[in-house]
Amino acid sequence: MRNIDDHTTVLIADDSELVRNTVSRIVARLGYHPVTASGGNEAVSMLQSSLFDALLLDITMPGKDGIDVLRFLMENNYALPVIMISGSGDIDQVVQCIKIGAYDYLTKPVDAQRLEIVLKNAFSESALRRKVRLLSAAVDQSPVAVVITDNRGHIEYTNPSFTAFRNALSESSAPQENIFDDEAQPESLSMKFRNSIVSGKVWQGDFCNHKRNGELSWEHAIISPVASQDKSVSHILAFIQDITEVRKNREALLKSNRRFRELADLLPQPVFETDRKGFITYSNRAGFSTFGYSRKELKRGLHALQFFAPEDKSRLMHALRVKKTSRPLGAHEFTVFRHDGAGFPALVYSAPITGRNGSGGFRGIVIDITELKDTERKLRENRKKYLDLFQAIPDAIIVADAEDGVLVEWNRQGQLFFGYTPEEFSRLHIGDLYPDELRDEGVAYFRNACNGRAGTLETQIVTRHGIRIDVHISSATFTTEHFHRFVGIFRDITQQKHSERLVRDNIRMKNDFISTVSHELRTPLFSILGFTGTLLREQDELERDTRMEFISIIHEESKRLSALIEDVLMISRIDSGRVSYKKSELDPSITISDVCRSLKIRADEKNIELRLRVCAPMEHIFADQDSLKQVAINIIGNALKFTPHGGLVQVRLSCDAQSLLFSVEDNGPGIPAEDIEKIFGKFFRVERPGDAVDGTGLGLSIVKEIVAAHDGTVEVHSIPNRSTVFLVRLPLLMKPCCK
Amino acid sequence: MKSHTILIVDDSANIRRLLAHNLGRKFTVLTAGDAAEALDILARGEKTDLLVVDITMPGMDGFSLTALIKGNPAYEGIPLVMLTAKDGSEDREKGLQLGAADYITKPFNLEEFAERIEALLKRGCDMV
Repeated sequence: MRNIDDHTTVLIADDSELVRNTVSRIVARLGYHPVTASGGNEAVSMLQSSLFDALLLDITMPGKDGIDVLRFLMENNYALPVIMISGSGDIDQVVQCIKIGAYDYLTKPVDAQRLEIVLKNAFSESALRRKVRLLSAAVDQSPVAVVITDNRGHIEYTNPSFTAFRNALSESSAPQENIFDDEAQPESLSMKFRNSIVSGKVWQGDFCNHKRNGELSWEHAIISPVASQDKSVSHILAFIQDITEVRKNREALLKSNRRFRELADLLPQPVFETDRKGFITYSNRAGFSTFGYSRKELKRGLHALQFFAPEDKSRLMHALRVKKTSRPLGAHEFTVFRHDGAGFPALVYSAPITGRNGSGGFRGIVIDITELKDTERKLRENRKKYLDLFQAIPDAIIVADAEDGVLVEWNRQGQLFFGYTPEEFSRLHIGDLYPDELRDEGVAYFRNACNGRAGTLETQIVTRHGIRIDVHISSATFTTEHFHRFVGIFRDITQQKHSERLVRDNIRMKNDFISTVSHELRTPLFSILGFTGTLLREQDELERDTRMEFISIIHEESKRLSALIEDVLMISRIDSGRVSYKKSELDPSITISDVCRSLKIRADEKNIELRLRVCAPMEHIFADQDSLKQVAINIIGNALKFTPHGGLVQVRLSCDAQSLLFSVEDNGPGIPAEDIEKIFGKFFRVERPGDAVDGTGLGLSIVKEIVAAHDGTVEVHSIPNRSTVFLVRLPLLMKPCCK
Repeated sequence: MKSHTILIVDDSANIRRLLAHNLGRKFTVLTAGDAAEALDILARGEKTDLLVVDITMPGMDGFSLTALIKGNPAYEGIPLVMLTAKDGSEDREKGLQLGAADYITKPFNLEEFAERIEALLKRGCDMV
């Protein structure tokens, strides 16, 4: 509204210049801005071109008079107040003007006071009218249905929206007379707002109606009592708004919300949302059950950080910062904690929540990967176990591709056994493991195994360094969807072959021994039988000397037989572990001297010099005397046996710090190098052309056993065609004082 | 008058002595301690009507000696008795295949042995 003091413009239309001037002066004095027109036509054209707040219009004017101008203004809906100025006798004209729409009238001569009052009233009424016009336009055009009733509910006014609204709802076209008569309202509801209104309060609420077309219609109503000046309710004002769409949208939103919550609750994994400060604002059912918190505790405030391990927090914050800026979806692995303090490994997928007003916290899902981790660990352990097992197997294992025979895997023993580096292995074909002439056999075995005809093969392989090794090969194949593999297990049977040879040798030697023993037993037995038979038959004819000769032969052969039997028994006792040694402290020089004396005769027979040297001082040993004697007899006896006529056999006895050294050196033919290792074996006899072979081949074997039983050693050094030395070491008896 | 000469080849001096004594009453007996000595005696042209050869001897054994003798036209006609302490039938067959006239396993009855030698010598004379 315009400021009344400044620019309230009043048009003064009068044909009398005197009146125009007088009135202008008064108007100006009142603080308004006067503009004048000298006739009806001028006034109309000015009104058409400018805006005026009031018009002072003379009725009687030449040309277009005041009534014509007034009519024009009314017909064209000019809203400004028109105040007629008339001469004293024109009362009929004044009435006519008021009827047409003039606001008031003044009589000439114009009284200044009266003009002021009339103008003021005119201005305030015109302002009020503008306001009413605006209000009624607003109510008429409002999409909200507006109903005004009297205080009993009788409708006094409805706007077009209400009519449209009712028409959509009601079958009957008859206008509703009382808002409380609405049949659609349940009685209780009607009562409720009636009571509310009667007690002077505003009621508002929603209600539901069926539209004519059968659809549900929701309305929001505000029903307000209107109090008049005496404060009693005179009217009731109701605003009714169709909120069906809003309701629908809200329901759809609620439904989708509920669906989301139910879906989230169906998830076995915890799902959560936080606000921008990190406090949990939502968790699905699994979240509560997994972490052991109640909804009450959530409401009291749970910060997301308290679920994470302290050491994970900086990593978590970093991940969140990165996400906030670049917004990728992603998973991170963390250790998260339950209410009871138990932690478990989890994958946390999270994404920032972006609202209209920027970032607002995070939402995410927590996947418990305990089982996954467990399975992973078990898989890893299993894999390691089998790998360790594979590596630890003492047989060489080679895995080859069944299609092309190229080596793909091998264990540690395989590498050691064949001597190849992994790089070299990976370039080899299975056939390369065999010597050239056995390659075809090896490859054929591989082909057969790959074709399901597994078996075993005893053959030789060749190492990287060209060494051939006896092996026993067994094999298997295994197939996955990606490959078909041959697994060969190569077992070194060198030892086994060696043992087999040893067993064979042993059996052969035993057979030889039996045949030797039977020969050696039969020969003296034949002599004894033969000579005793001869003596019996020819006792009277034989000369005494011949008889004596025969008897001494019988005696000699009997002794030989006896010695042989002793040896055989001894070796049999050793073999069956039934030897018992009666050890005692003894001076070895005495025992050895006795033996040398007893062997003197045999030495003399071959004209051999048997020399004994004992180096002082001689320590005692702890030994079985008979066994020591046997050792000496066997070694010295051997020396005598193999030393040619006129030879020399030297026996020496000496002591070092710990041992008695007993050596026998001859200057015989020596022992062939290839036999050196065998001489201590049972039943072995060095074959020597031209020499009589007697004995059982057990002598040195017995020596070895006896020496070992006395914690001693025996060794032999021989130079062919020059000498042989046997050296026996036996531990000395340690005297406490000597220590 | 002893009409036949027998050569005994055995490495055991006692066996040689025993056989020489027992056969010596009927035959002239020559003895050798090993194959080489026996071949020497034969080579010297000593009259030998029968050979008694021990199988187990150091150096050349009885089989080799037999093979040598039987392979030599000069001696192949001399009857040869193998004497052994071995009782394997393989050895026996081997001996007989090599041309031995008899194969005798120790111990044996000396009188019987003498009779078998006599029979062999007689058959040899008949054949001649």
